[in-house]
Formats: sequence, C-alpha cells, structure tokens
Amino acid sequence: MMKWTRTLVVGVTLIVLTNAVVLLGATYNRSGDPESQLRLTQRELQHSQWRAEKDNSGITLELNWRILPAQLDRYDRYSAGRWEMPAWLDKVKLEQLGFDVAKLASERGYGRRDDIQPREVLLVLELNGPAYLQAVQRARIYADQAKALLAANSRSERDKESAKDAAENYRDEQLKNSRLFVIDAGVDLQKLRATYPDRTRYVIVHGLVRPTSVQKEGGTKIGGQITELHAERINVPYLYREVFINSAAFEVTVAFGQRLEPWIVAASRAMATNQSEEKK
Amino acid sequence: MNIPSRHEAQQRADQILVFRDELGRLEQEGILVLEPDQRSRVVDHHRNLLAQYAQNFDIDRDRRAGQLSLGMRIASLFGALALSSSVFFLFYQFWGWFSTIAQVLILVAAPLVMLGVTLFIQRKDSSGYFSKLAALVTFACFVLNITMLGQIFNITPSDNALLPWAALAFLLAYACDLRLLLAAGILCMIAWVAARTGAWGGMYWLSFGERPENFFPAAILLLMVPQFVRHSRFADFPPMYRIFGLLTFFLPVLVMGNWASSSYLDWDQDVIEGFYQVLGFVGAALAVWLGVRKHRTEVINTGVTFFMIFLYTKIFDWWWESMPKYLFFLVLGLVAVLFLVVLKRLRATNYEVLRGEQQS
Repeated sequence: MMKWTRTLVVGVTLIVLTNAVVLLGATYNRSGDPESQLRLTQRELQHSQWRAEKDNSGITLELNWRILPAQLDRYDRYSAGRWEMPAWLDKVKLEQLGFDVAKLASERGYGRRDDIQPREVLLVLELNGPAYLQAVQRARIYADQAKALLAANSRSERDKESAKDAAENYRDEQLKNSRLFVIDAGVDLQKLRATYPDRTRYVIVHGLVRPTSVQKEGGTKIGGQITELHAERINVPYLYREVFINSAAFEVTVAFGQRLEPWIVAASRAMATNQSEEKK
Repeated sequence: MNIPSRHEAQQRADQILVFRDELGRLEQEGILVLEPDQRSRVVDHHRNLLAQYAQNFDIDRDRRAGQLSLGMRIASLFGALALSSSVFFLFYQFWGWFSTIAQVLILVAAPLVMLGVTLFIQRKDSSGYFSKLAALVTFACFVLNITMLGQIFNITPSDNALLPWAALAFLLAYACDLRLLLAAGILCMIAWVAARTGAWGGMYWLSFGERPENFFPAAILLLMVPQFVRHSRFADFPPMYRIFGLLTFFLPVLVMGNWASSSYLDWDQDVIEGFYQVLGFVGAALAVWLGVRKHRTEVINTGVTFFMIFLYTKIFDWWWESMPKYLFFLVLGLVAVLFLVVLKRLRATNYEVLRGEQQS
C-alpha cells in the first residue's frame, strides 16, 4: 500500500488544485464588464422547486424563457411549450449552425440521422422586445376571434369557455407571462453581438439545439428545438435571500460574464406600483 | 515469507485451514501420520503465521470469523452509502443559510478533513472496514464539493469534473486497498472517456449515452490496464478491471444488436443489428475461451452470462410470438442443458491440458 504521507500529499494537492481551477474559472467569468446585464422580475425568474424548504435550504431561480412558435394549433395556442419549433429555427438556420440539413431531409428513418444529436450553440435571449410584443398581439387576436365566435353563437358552452380562456390568456400575456424569448442562435459570439448590440435587452448564452421534423399537410417540415439553456438556473446568494423567501414581486439584475455564466448582482422587492399592476 | 497484501495473507490463512482439515482426514484414514516433532513444528509455524497476519491485517482465522466478516463487509458498504447520502443532505439542509465564502470554505474543507480522517483510520484499523467507510465519505465530499461549487457559481456542467473524481477514487482505492472505491474510479473513467469520444464525434458531452459505441474505447482501456500495470500487491484489482471492461463492451453490443438506430455506422439497420449480434456471440465465446486458457474465472463467468443473454434474446426474437409458451420455455431449458454439456466438456479438456502441463 502507498505510504500514508505520500497519499495525503497527493490527495490534498488534487483537491486543492481542482478547487483552484473551478474558482479561478468563476472569477474569470465575473472579471471585467459583464458581457450583458438584464433586469428581470418574477415574470422571467421562478423559484426552482427541487425539495425546496424540506431538505434544501438554498434558493435557486430558473430563467423562464419562451419561444415564439411558427404556428400554434387550436389546443396549444395559449401555452406554446419550449419543445416546439421556434419560427426562426428553420432549415437555413440549422445549416448555419452546422447541421447537415440535406442529409436530414434525405434519410428515411428519423432515428438513423447522424445529425439528429443536439449541438451546443449560442442562443440569443430578448427581454421585452419585438418577440414579446408579437406574443401579446397574437393573444389579442385569439381573444378577439374567440369573442367574435361567441357573439355568433352565444349558446355554445364550448365557445363560452374558449372566449373566457382567450381573454384570460391575453391578460396574463400582458401582466404575468415571461417577456424573455429565445430569438436567434449562432456559433460566433462577436457576430451575434454585432447583430444584437443592446447588452441590456439581449443576452447571449450557451445552449443546445436538436434538429427535428413534424408532419404537416404540405409534407415534412424540418426545424429545430431548443433542448437546453445552460444558464437556466441561477443561485441566490445569502445576501439576497430575504428578497425571495416569500412570494412577493421582485426585481433582479442578472449579469452574464466572460464565460456567459450568470450571477445576481442586485435584487430587491418590486415597487408597489408593479405589485398593484399584477393584482389588477 | 514476505506477505505484501491483506488479500494474500487471507489466502494463505485459508490454505492453512484447508491443510489442517485434510491432514486430519489423512491421519484418520491412516494414510499419513506425522511424527510428534514434525506435527508440533507445523502447528507452531502455522500458529505464528496466523498470529502475525491477524495482527497486521485482522484476517479471518477460522470459518466462523469468515462468515462474520462477510456480514461486516455488507454492513460497512451500507454504512458507507448511508453516510455519504447523509453528508449530501446535511449540506443541502443548511447551505442556504451560509454566505458564499462560508459555503466555499466548508465545501473545500470537507474532503480535505475526511481525507486526513481516512488515512488516520487506515493506520489504526487493520480490518479495513472503517477505512472503507471513511474513504467513501471522502469521495462523496469531493463529488459534493465540485458539484456544489458549480451550482453556487452557476458554472456550465463539464465532463472534466469526472477526471479529478476518478483520480481521488483511484488514489483512495490503492492507498486503502478498497475495491468499492476502485469501482467508483472506473465508473468515472468510463463516463469521461465515453463523453470525450462522443464530443470528438461532434456530440454534446452529456449525450454520450445516446451512442453506445462511445463506450468501446473505455472498454479497451480497461481490458488493457491489467496487462500493462502490475498489481502484485492488489490481487483483487485486475479482475475488477476485466469485469468492468467486459461489461463496457458487451452492454453496448447488446443494445446495438437490438436497436441499431443508436449506432454511428452508416449501414442498413438490419445489417448493423446482425453485425452486433454476431460480434456479441463471437466476443462472448472468445471471452470464455480466453478465460479458460488464462484461468480467469471472472472472464469465463462474464462471457458465459453474456453468451446466454445474447442467445436468449435471439430465441425470444425468433420464437416468442410463433411458439406455444410451453414449447418456448422447453427450448430455453434444452439450450441451458446443451450449454451445461458444452461447459462440462470444456472443463474436462481444461483438466487434461493442466495435467499435460504438470507432466511436462
């Protein structure tokens, strides 16, 4: 067996070196000016629920990001899931991200496609921008359509229910739903930043995109899904713990550093006006 | 005689017990009766050896002690797993109430302190049960350390974390002669090599399991370790490498023999499945043959197990739907009987080879 002093020295060196590498990486991420910085509210950040309070005293916030799908079906128009294809993540974009789209289109068996595996890319998130306005506009159109349908056939219980849901959805879209949308992807940080120069509205993070296809009336549509956002979970340091221990509205400034990893730089309870706005 | 490891000391002690039993029988049957002088010399020598081993390694000196130590091994394994879980939940229970600096200090200090405790216990505890317990807690503390730092600083997950984990597990395994930690180190190493292979093939590292062929380089590496690294003081370790190496090879082969869609090969699905089924049968038969030739029980057992699994999977594919169930299970039973006959013949051939080697 190894001599215990030698084991101790090797073990201590290994543990200390590993921690040093991790901590230096975190320090580098937070050095200099942040790559971007967003002011978010409870609309864009929600509590992560993993054994919250029972066995886990830590508080972790999760970025509540959304996508704007190309087209919504009747049944999911109010709650487009993240697993749908964003309108912008089409064949051309997949090609730009390095996927062999021609091969994807030609292969018969879905599972046999080599390029079906997800790839790590850079994703652009937009806060309270055109994508959000489009989502509000869509919700308004659906609400108007449902209202008109009900006016034409006021006895239908189903139409009544639809009109009520659509109106609620429109109100939620204006006051509650997240305004953070993934709106683009790329592989070159400089190019993406040149396209989206506003660092207080557009944040660039690492994430995963997986090609997929859906059967539509006109044939097979090839597009992509966003399967993961690496910067999704944000730890709340003890300093800001008080802000999050109840369900009151809050405002958080989140910075994204040199490695595009996030951290909280400021957090406070939201102004009374914001809270009353939500109650309306 | 110089006994370098606990394993060899235990092996010698077991041989002494067998020798005593056999000598007793020979004396009863009147075939061999030792002179009183010879007998007392043998008895004294064995007594001294056993006492020395017991002092140095806390070995089992008789069969009852052997039965008890099996229970102790199981208790120590469960204790180690439970204590590791306890450390994990202890930190989660309170970490939210500490400042970031305090969190980092606790996380860094925990594996360092536990490493010291493990080595201290190892010096005092010749049985190895308590040092096994402490070593696994040290490893758990280090895994928690790096995982939680990642969570505190919102660091993107990386497969590189597997390397220091593997390194510490190997260090503790070799320092304290612990197979459990060796298994932990091997598993971290398998995951890291498979993740790297997947990443070089253009995959995201966490998706490495979606292409089972990513595990083949790790299997080759594991099978090569006992060939190139001498384990004279760790007789239990080479079989561990071989078993994990064979599992890392045969399990992906089994998966791809049935689900070709996960393969890198750009062939027709049926061809891929057929290729891996043949590879599975040939590989398992080769493992049995090699195991018999090299007298490696673990290789024979793993080869036989996988040969049976491949065979039964194929029989299921062919006949489960078409045959009446009584006939299907009858075929399975007959296959098992046929297999027994083949293995019996193989064993007989092996005896003849051994006898030939001894005579020459």
